[in-house]
Amino acid sequence: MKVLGLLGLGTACGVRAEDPPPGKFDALDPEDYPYREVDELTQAEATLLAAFDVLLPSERDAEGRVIVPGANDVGTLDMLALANFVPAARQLNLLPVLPAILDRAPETFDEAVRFVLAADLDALAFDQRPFTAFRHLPRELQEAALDEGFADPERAVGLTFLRAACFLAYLGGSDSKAGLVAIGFPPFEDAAANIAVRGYPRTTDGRLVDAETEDLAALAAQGVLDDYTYNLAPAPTLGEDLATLIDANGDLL
Amino acid sequence: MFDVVIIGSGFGGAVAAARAGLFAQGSGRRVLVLDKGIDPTGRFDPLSDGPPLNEQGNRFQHSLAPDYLTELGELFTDPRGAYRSGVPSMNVVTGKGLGGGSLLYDGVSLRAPSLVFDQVRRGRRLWPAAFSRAALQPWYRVVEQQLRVHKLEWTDANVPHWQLATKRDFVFAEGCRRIGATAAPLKLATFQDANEGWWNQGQRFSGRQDLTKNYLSTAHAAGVELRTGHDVDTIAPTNDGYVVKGVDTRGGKKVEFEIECRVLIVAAGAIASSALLLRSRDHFVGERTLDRGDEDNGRAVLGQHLSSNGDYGVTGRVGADFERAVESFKGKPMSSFCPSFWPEHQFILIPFHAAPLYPALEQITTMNPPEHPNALGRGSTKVAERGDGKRARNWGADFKRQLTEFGTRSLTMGCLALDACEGEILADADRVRVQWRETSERTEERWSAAVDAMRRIYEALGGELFCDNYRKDGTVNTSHPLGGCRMADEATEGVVDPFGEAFGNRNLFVMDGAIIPSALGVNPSLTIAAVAEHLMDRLIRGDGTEALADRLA
Repeated sequence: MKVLGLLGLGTACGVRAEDPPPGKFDALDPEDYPYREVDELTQAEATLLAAFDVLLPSERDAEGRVIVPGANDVGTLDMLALANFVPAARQLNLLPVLPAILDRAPETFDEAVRFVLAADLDALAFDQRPFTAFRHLPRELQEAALDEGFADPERAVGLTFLRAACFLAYLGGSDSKAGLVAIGFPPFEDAAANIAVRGYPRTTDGRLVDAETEDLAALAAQGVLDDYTYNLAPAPTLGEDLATLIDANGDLL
Repeated sequence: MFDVVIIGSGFGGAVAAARAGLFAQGSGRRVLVLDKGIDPTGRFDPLSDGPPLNEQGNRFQHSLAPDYLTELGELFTDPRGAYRSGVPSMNVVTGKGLGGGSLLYDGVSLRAPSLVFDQVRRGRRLWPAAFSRAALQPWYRVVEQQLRVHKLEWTDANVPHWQLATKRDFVFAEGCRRIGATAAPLKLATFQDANEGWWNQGQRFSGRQDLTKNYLSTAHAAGVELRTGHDVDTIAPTNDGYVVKGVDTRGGKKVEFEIECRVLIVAAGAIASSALLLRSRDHFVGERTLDRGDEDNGRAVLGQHLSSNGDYGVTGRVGADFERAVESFKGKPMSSFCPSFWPEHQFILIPFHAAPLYPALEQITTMNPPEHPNALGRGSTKVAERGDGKRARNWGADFKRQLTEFGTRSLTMGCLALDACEGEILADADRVRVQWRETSERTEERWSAAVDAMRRIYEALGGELFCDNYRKDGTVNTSHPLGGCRMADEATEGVVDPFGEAFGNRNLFVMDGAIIPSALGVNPSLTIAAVAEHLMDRLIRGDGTEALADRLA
């Protein structure tokens, strides 16, 4: 069962943010981040969602509205499905050896994995406060439980998978782009077609600019140019002559 | 029976396919390319698996979804040192699919410096006598024309706007200047670039030149057959050539195949080519043995001499007071380099765009400061402690707030250096592994000098260098593996001769990064392709070796 504890879980359960509208995450309506009602979740799923919110928390305003999305706003539980996580584990070297049988594992296997991972979290919770489920611990004890878990080489592997699922969903740009936007990337131009950006230079409202025919300086003066380059030469380095290092072609001598 | 079979379609295989195809065109001779990945264009193999073609006519996506990335790349590792175990390890990322590494590369196209070809170890020149920078210059030019290599510039005073270095490069150049070094724009294989980035996930829009746009198109037009989904298991000699055995995985099936040929060119990349020969070596006995290492010293050569090309990546942040944003996700993922340290330490520095996912997951680097900022060397430090005596978290609210600076303040860079080929490749029946032995003193000195320089750059920009996995866990990461079937003048020193032909095995060639006998210290794609051009030219013309036409007669 330990192997189960290292692997992903979760059939689709609808915990996913819509792609964000252009602009910042200023006090978005919670309706943009639809959660399932708690009574629709299994206890294991509820425990995992609690862990995800500790690992990569949603940030909310005083009214409880999401200001900056977290793991539970970007479909992390979906990401933790075995069908996603076996290739991720191979791609990211998250496990030394993955039994080939996992490639053929039925979706029902996800549920068992989910149960074992949640049980691990509850075992960590027991050390903080006996007979209390992880999801019922106060936040500081949840954090302490994860601190203890990550410090224990055996338990750290399972937690590493939970953490990896959070970041894969948050920063992978696959289903939701909300995490990338939250760290400063522009919103995807066409989320349905999975196009982040068609290119640069462009205007701040997303229009591609023809750099050969349009006046970039004028657009910059208007404050609407969004470019990939500063189009500036750096100041020279005193005492170093590049010609002694590279040839006219740009190659090292 | 095919006349020529080429296994793999990266910078060696694609060149071999184009040249063999042009040679065979109109002659009735048959040339076949086998690749285990997909056809990202949909033009070469109509039976290819893979995501649906998009409006741009390719299968590339702006996504880091694991199931998508596993179609484009492979990770080879040392299972003993898996993720965060604290055991020293080696991770090698390679491309997969028609186009090989070019599907994921950054387009950097630098010629290897002269010094590289003149390296000597144990009194012997590492490269065969026939190879030097001067000897390869004509072939570098040929490849640069095929790949439309351009030198970038800082401003568009003399070049089109698409040909500029990025904001990230300007910030890097300022950091270099402040420590007394100089940055210069790179040469890239790109043309009329849309600058949309995402090159490491396969470039969806125009610009970066992968091999499907040039060499493989030439091969296809010349009548070369390109088959995807063909995972080669073993090769073996026959009376008049070779037999290639494997599994055709197209269409979700697994159909075993056997293909015979007269001339076989193995070009599956440094790791896969070496592993294929290792798996097949029991079929090569007596005079045909594939490994003629120095038996007196019990020294093997097949699978040995694996170089990481000195890859060493780090992440850090630029200080909040620095007046310009990095915005590393915009534009080409690599477009400048610092050559200042080459004469003394034989490394270059390159800033690059790393998808934020990787440092967040502690792949290659962490996003937390090290306990000892000035520490140098393998396993020399760990992630710093917080105030409560526990390690800084790589999760939670504080870490997330740190992530929000990624787009504007994070700067990732790395060095490429001359290492001493301390790696090796091992192939079991069902798995290929790589290992990194103890780092040599020379490699350690170069990496330490590079890390020290990078730390000073971050600090000169008012920021800090985060902890990297080599200093934390001793893990070596590379996307530029070289060696494993090294080319040499003597059979006791290498697997193939200076024509790329396996010692003792007429008509069996290896023609990719596996035969490169040393680290290059610069991105290797241009040199691998130039060496393949050189070898194919000599083979077709019969210059110093039996001509291809005679071999097929």
